[in-house]
Amino acid sequence: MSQLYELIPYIVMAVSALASTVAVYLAIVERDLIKAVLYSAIQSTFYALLFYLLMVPDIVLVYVPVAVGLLSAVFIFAIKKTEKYEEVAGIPKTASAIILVLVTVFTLIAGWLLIQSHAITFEIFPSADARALAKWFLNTTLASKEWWIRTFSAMSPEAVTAIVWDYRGLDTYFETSVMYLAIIGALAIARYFEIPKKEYKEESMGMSIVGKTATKILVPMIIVVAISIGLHGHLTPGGGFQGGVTAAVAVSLMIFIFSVYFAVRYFKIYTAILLRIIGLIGIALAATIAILIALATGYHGFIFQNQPKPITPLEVGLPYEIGGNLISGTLLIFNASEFLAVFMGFAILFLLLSVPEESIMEVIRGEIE
Amino acid sequence: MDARSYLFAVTYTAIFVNIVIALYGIFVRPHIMKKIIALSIFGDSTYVYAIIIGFRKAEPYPVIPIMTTWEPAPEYVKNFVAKAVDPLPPALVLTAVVIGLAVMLFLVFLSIQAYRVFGTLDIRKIIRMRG
Repeated sequence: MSQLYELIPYIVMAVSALASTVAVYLAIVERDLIKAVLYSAIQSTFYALLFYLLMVPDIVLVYVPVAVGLLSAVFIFAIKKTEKYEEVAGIPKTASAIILVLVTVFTLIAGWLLIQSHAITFEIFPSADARALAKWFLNTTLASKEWWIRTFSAMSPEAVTAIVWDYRGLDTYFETSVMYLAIIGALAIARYFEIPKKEYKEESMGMSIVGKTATKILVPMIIVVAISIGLHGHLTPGGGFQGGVTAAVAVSLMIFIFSVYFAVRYFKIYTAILLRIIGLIGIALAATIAILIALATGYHGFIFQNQPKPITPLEVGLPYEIGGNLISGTLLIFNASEFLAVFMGFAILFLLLSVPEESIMEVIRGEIE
Repeated sequence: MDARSYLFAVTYTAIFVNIVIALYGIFVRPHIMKKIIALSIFGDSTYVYAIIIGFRKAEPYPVIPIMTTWEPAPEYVKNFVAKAVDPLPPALVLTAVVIGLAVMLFLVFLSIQAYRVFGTLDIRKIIRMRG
C-alpha cells in the first residue's frame, strides 16, 4: 500500500504528460484559432503540473502567469484584431507527410543524443545521483561556519536565485538585455502610435459589471502577491522575474477587462519606459556596487561580486544580513530592480498592443503618402 | 524495470510526441498565428526536457533546492545535497521563459503589422503577393 502511495506523483506525472499530448494535438489541428489558443492554455496547465511534480516551484511561479495568463491573453487579443479562422484547404498531403517523417527523424536523433550525452539514462531512470556541479551549488549556496565554503557562497537558502543572480549573474544580465532589445524592437515598430485622448466611460467600455467588480478586488491583491514574490526571491521560490510577470497580469487585466483608456489613467507609456530604465540602472548598479565601494575605500572588488571573500582580507562586498534579516547581499537589489524592469517592460508591450486600430491605420496611411 | 522508471519513460515519450506535433505545426500549418502557437508549445516542451535532466531519484521523493533554515548544520546540508534536485536547469529555464515571452510578444507585434499591410496572415497568400 505504501508502495502505491509513493507511486502517486509519478502516476500523476505520466497522466498529465499524456493529457498534454492530447491538448497539443487538438491545438494544432483546430481550425478556429481562439479554440486553438484555449487548447494551448490547457497544455500549459498540464505542463505547470509537470514542473510542480519535477520539484521546481520557481518555474511554476513564472510559467503559470506567462503561459496560461499573458500569452493566451495576447494571442486572443491579436486574433481578434486579425483573422479568426485558418484556411486549411490546399495543404498538399504528400508534402506534409514527408515533413512529418522528417520532423520525427530529427526529434528521434535529438532524443538519442540526449541519452548518449548521459543527461538521461534508461537503466536507472531518473538517475539517483546528481551531477557534481549541482552538488557543488547545493553545498555552497548557504554557508555554515567553514571559511572555504564561505568563500564561494552566495549566502542565500534559495539555490535557484543564487545561481540566477550570483553564480551565473552575467548570463542573466545579458538575457535581460535580450528582453530589452525585443521591447525596443516593438517600440520601433510602433514609433508613431499613440493612445488617443479619450475619457473612460464606465457604462460603454470594457466588459460587464461582474467582471469589472471582480477585477477591482483582484488587481490590488495580485500586485501585493507579486511584490511579495519579488522581494522574497532570495528566501522562498520566486524572484524578480516571477514577481514581474505576476504584476504584468494585473496590467493585462486592467487593459482587457476595463479598457486602455482606464489603464492610461494610472500610467502612460513614457512613465513605464522611465520606470523600466530605473530598473535597468538598478541592475547595473547592483552588478558594479562592490567595485564602486572598493574604488571609494581603496580595497579590492570585482564586477558581479556579492559577498566579501574571507580568503583575501582586502576585498569588500555587501553584508548578507542587516539586523538579523537575511538579505543575501546584492540579490535583494537585483530582485527588486528586475521586478521593476520586467513589470514595466511588459506593461509597455501591452499598452502598445492595445492602441486602437483606427488611429494606427491613420499613422500607416500617413507614412505611405 | 521499476514501475517508477516505466512511468517516467511514459512522461519522456509524451513530451517527445509533443515536440514532433509542434514542429509539424510550425512547418505545415499555413496561418502565422498558428505557427506562433506551435512555436510556443515547442519551446515549452524543450523546457520540460531541460527540467527532466535535473530531476533525480530520492527516497521517498526529491525535495526542492531551497533550504528551510538559514544556519544549516553539517548533517542538514549533507541530507539536503543527497535529496535536492539540480538547481541549474531551473535557473536557465527561468530566464528563458521570460525572454521567450518577450520574443513571442515581438512576433505577435510583427504579425499584426503584417496583417495591417497585407490584409491577410495566410503565409501562402503573402508569398503570392511577392512582398
